[in-house]
Amino acid sequence: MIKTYAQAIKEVTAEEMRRDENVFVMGEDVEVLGGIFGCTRGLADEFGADRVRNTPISEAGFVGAGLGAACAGMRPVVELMYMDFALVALDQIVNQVAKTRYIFGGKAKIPLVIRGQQGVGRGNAATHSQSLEALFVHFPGLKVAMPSTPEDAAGLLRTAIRDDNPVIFIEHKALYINKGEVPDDPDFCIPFGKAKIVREGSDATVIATHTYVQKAVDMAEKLWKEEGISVEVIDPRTLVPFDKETVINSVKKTGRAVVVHEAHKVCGVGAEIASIIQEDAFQYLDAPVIRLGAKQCPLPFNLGLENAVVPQPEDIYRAVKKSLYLK
Amino acid sequence: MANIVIMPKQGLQMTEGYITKWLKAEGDSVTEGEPLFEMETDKLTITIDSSFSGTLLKIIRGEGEQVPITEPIGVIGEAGEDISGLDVAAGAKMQANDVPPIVRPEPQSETQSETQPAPVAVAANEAPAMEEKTAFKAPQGRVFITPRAKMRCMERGITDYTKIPGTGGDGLIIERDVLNYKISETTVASCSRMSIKVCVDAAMQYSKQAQENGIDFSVDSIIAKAACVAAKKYQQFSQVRVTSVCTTEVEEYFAALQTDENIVISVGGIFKSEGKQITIVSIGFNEYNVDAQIVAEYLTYLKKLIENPIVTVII
Repeated sequence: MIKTYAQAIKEVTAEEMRRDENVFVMGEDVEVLGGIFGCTRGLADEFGADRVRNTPISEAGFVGAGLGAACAGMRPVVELMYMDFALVALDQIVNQVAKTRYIFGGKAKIPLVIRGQQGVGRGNAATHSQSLEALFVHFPGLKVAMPSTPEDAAGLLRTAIRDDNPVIFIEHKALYINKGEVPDDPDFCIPFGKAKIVREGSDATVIATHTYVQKAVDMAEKLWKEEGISVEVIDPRTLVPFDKETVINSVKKTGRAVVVHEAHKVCGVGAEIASIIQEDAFQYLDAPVIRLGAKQCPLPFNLGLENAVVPQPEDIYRAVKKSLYLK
Repeated sequence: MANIVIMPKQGLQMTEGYITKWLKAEGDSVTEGEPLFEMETDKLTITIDSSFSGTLLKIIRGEGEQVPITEPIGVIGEAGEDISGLDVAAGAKMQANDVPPIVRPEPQSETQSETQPAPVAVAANEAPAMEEKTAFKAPQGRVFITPRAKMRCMERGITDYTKIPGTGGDGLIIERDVLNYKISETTVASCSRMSIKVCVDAAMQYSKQAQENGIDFSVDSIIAKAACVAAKKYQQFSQVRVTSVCTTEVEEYFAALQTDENIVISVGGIFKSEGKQITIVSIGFNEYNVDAQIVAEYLTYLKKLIENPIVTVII
């Protein structure tokens, strides 16, 4: 069935809550409002305020509470209104959520999902438009999912909720209204650690996340039409675990790689992916791996300036040509 | 060190100024902050104070001159200082990058900067990767090649990649260069040569007989077979290239050696001489690597084999 990214998230949440009474939702404005992007709309009507719990504006508090609930046998889905607010709860996430199971010698089971949206597109300015996935990838103990389509959102969220380990589920504010076909199967899951080859190609590999997946595909079409260059586009879908095999096989085939994401280029996940590629596929490379990411400045309030800071489709186009030593 | 006085930029849109009056003459002493000259733009008239103390050594642009902003108009330094070697342009450039001089504007006319429309998708990230900071041709003549291009060389049996022209910038050899590279067959300028006359009557008879029986077996094949058989006795002649024009009537054919080749056998045309069918078989060889005596012995043996083709089947 065709549904929006936000609907896919909401419906999987509802289905999993029906399936397992331990699954519950908490976050700011999730109950009556249904989340500022509608991701929990209607859930309180069906499941009641006990299972769709509004929280105070205290991320550290309610993330910690989610951790506690998970350790006590529940399966919380904690919504952060903006992923930027994870920074307020970072000690809870990095030091408690990520490490508790290890610190307790494997005794704690933490089936916790922390989900929220990030990114530019609404002029939400520097503290409400960031892309933070690199932080969560860096600390062991957290799985990280980044769906780019409604289908991926549905399949990955179900996997996340059914996973007994903490998952940071990162959505994008500009993707919520995108429509796509989502399988009706109530058990439709996409396994973590399985990248998607969105478009096949032979001259260069572009690895992209979130809104850049479609942009990369658009540029791949343009490169093919205008230059006869064949580009393979890969969406990793989950950063932890990361499907290294698919990426490396692709680069071995094409010889060139471009990694593009919205997060700042400096120390973004592109740096990690580029390193992995040069470590494992050095002999197969015809050019250095090119990374595209936001410039090293806080994200502007002005929509036009947002576009001046984050990578644009033309940057992908030029980067692919550059990797082929073409002007 | 002398200082350069430049035409200052008095407004966002200003590109030129008109010097109306110098308030100091060459040779006058000047104090920092003291009025130095008067100028006009289409928007204002203004007195410019000096940024430097010293003596006005030279007026480069005079009254009534229209001067583009940041260009030098005067020099202030020590009295009697020699400024003949002064790089005026460089000094002006340095001034242009500093804070503009102290001004006392007279009639204030507002220079409105136009409100810029919100830019859409201004140039964002550049793909920075291929900055050609370092030349790929290192001083010792090292030739750089990408790992993938090297892989392609190995696949193609190209052992010396330095010959491949590189288009990746500064001579870097990239995959495309290897894929486009055609191993040109250069020939050695000269080689040693020996030739021998061979009677091919017998060979031609066998060939005719075979063809009458529907077997395609030419004199070429007999000679090639003979060359292989002869090579059993003279090992260094195995795998030697044999080239022939014996379907024609040319008398001689001396093929040149290719690069990395030490021996080549070439067979001329078949022509009549003294009542017999004759062909001339010649060997071109690199005398540094192959002993002439051996070549001669081989060639003599080869002649015998060609003249007695049945033997080549038995041996």
